Amino acid sequence: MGQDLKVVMIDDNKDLLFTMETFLQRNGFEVHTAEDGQTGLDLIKKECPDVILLDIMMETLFSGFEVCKQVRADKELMDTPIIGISAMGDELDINYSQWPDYDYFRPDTFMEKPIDKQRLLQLIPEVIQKAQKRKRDPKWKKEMQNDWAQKASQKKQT
Amino acid sequence: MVSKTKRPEIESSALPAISGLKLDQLVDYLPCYVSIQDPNLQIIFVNANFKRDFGDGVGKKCHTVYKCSEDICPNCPVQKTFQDRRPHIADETVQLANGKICQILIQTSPIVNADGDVWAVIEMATNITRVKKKQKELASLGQSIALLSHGIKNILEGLQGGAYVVDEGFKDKDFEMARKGWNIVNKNIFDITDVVQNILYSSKDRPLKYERVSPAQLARDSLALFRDKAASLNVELKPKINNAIPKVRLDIASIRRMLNNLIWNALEACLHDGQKNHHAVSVKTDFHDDGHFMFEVADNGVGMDPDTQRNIYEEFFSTKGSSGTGLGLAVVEKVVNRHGGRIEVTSAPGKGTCFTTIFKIT
Repeated sequence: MGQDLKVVMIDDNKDLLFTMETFLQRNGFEVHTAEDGQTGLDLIKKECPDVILLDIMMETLFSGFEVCKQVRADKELMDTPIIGISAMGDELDINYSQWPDYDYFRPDTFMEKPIDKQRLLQLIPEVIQKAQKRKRDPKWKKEMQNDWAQKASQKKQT
Repeated sequence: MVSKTKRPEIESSALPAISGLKLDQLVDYLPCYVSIQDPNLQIIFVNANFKRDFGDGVGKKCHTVYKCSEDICPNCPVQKTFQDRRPHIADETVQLANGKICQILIQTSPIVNADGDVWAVIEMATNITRVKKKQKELASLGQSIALLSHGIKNILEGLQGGAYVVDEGFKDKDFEMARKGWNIVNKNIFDITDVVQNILYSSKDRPLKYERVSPAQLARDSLALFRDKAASLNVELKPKINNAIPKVRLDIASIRRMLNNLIWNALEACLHDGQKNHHAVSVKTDFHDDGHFMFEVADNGVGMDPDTQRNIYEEFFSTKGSSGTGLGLAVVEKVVNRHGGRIEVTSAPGKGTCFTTIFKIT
């Protein structure tokens, strides 16, 4: 089913990583995992995955929010679709809405824990398709020219 | 609502016949604070309740009486009433003459003279401190349910995930995989048991059942319980147990709960610290001074800033994001208080935390 699509999953819960790795591999995905944001970001840069599954509320210093921001600010990676995962689904939008560039830095979509695995299998091709469409969107391109890296570094300071 | 014309005067016959009270005396019996202020916000009349709780404020500005402040309160309802001749309502936090802080609900109304000018404003204030407290409790109940459900969702995730891995292992006759899945299930059963016990402990005061027990044994039991979890998190558990402490009278179930919560928190503090290569949690039981012994749980994890330290015993306060229920340390404090003990904490961000609970040797 995964047709050798490459997934990077970042979550600080080892058990969840193991479970999801097992599940995704058995559904034909190539899976790479990381337990913290910094390692995860390095892994994303190395593997250039088709989709990123990202725990937003990781309790590591380099959080899911930061990973999201860095991916979006990287011209090579910015189009990679991100599925944000958290047990605090209702609070995600509140956290993201504090950013002025909320629409650009947020993940493509969110999934709440416990993860509905069958829904995830449907969602992966959907977000990949959406991301490809977005890549061709002139508005998205225009934002890219505005140098997101600079925006992201400004946010880091605030 | 307020006409420009003077309000009709109350006939003396309208007052209760039994009392022979004058109108201003009747105001003294109103169960609220009544004051009248002139356009400079100077108080020109107060009732007895006002006098009792705020002192005789006549001749002073209302903000100096209510708040010991030289500045007019923002959104002053009295000032607004002078400006637009309408009644206004405001919530204010004020200080009583005895120093107590309380919340009052102020309602104002203009007093209009024969020419139709507002010459004064009458203010009626009700002490709503208790109502506010209830409001706060309800709000925190909502938050707490949200926090608990987040914690439980994470555990559900673990249970579902573990069960999935077990199923897949059986399907493939891969018993190694099934065992891994079963470990995940077991770990999450341990977690949910802990959450439920903390909920029960914090919601209900069961009578303590004192028994003579060795503190060293209790510490050893808790250490044994966390051996696997600590190993899986790569944290060293260091027992520092003085077996010479005599048996003492304790409620065993409560003390176990207290120790489990402290060790659990210490392990998680290590887990969330990405700065050090080696993490350790020490569990110490020793004499404290003459007549007292202590349990001490210390970690070299993330540590806490002073702000966090101030809130740690609040129920449903958690720094653990989605995995905390905010009950652990509240329960620890409750156990210590119910045993007549005391609790001390030292902590520094990036260095670690040490909790010491001290009890009488009885």
